Amino acid sequence: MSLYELTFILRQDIANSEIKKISDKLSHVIKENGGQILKEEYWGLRNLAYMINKNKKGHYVFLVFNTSTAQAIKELKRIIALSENIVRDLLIKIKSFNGKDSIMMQKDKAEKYEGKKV
Amino acid sequence: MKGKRYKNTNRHENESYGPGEVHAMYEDAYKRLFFRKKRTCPLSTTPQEHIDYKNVELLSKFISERGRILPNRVTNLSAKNQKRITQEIKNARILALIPFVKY
Repeated sequence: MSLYELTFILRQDIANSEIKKISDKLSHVIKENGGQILKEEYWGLRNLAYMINKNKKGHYVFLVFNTSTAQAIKELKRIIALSENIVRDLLIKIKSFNGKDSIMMQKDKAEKYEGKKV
Repeated sequence: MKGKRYKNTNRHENESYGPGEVHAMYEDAYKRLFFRKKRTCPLSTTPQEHIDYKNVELLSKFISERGRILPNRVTNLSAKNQKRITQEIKNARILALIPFVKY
């Protein structure tokens, strides 16, 4: 089993119901190919450090999952590439996962960063 | 009395110094001039899991005002941690958490 972290950014002018739909769709793909979702987080609408496809802000969604099949990763990448609502993604392999909330979900730290206005 | 600090007063003026003795004296004086306390890696006590692309607050300490990654000699990080920080900054840039350049 390999552990993965997937973070992706959705377009700024997207409906809230759509966000859930897209993350559900991706997690469904993982489950279908013999994977397991360990964590799902929504970081909210954040300011981007630079413009991506004319977007100044973006909805950040974060997933941690494990899978032993390459098929799951391949299919996931294909769907992300085809989706027009996903403007950016980062899929990395991690060594361990402690089940805790990520730093972005710890409110005070996230606000501090927003205040800095990078 | 400048320069007489290391002169052995018991020694006869014409007496020569032993091999390497003068060099050792110079080296000692040099060390005194440029004495600096040895600084350790600033992340030596932080847990490795904190070095992460999501930890923007930590990463922003190791980038310049313009958003460039600072070199090892400035950050004083160990080679291992510098490599990790560099990689995580690059990941954070992809996700637009940290800018590539600030104007």
